[in-house]
Amino acid sequence: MEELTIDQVKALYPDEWVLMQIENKAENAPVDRGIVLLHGKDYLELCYKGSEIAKKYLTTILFTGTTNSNRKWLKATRLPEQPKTT
Amino acid sequence: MAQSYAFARATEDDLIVVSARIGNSIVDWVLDSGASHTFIDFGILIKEGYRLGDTKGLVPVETANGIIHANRFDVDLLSALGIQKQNFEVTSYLFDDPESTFRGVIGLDFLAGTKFCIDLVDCEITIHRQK
Repeated sequence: MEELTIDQVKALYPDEWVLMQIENKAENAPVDRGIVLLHGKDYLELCYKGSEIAKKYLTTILFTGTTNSNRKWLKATRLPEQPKTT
Repeated sequence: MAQSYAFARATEDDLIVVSARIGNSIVDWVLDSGASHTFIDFGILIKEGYRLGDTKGLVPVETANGIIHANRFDVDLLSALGIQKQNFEVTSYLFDDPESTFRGVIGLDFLAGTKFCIDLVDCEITIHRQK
């Protein structure tokens, strides 16, 4: 299978989720290329299939569509655990 | 010993996103020094072979969409910014915006035992490991 750049993957599989195998990535370096293992519209389906075929490979999951650049992160806070009485 | 890691932040809308490894998955995470705990999208855990049956239990989580119950998992390996944690507890739920650019949040529990400096001028994170 051929190694592709992120731009090539986006052109080939627009608006899809893509599971890519990565090789030789330095820590904190952005992923800029990889080998496409799976692609599709359903994120969870890709995750389940990926767990079966890509256990031994270093991988990343990429969404090739447009994200909302104005979307802001809003906090998620773990609350104290309360024992259930019933 | 200190180690520095660069990040890109082109506009004031941009978050601090760092690359992390969980198992064999490379994932973009938001570094949130205001978060007490580390969160990850459940899809990534599924890809790494975790299933709901592996949960340590539910915990209430306050999100932008109200209070939800998320699962706690011990992950075999989580590494980012030169820090490696084994059998580390993460909180996980299906992020309500799967098309966001990040799939996890690094919280203070991951950074425990370090001194860290976030430099927003030079866009650099410096981690000092405790001896």
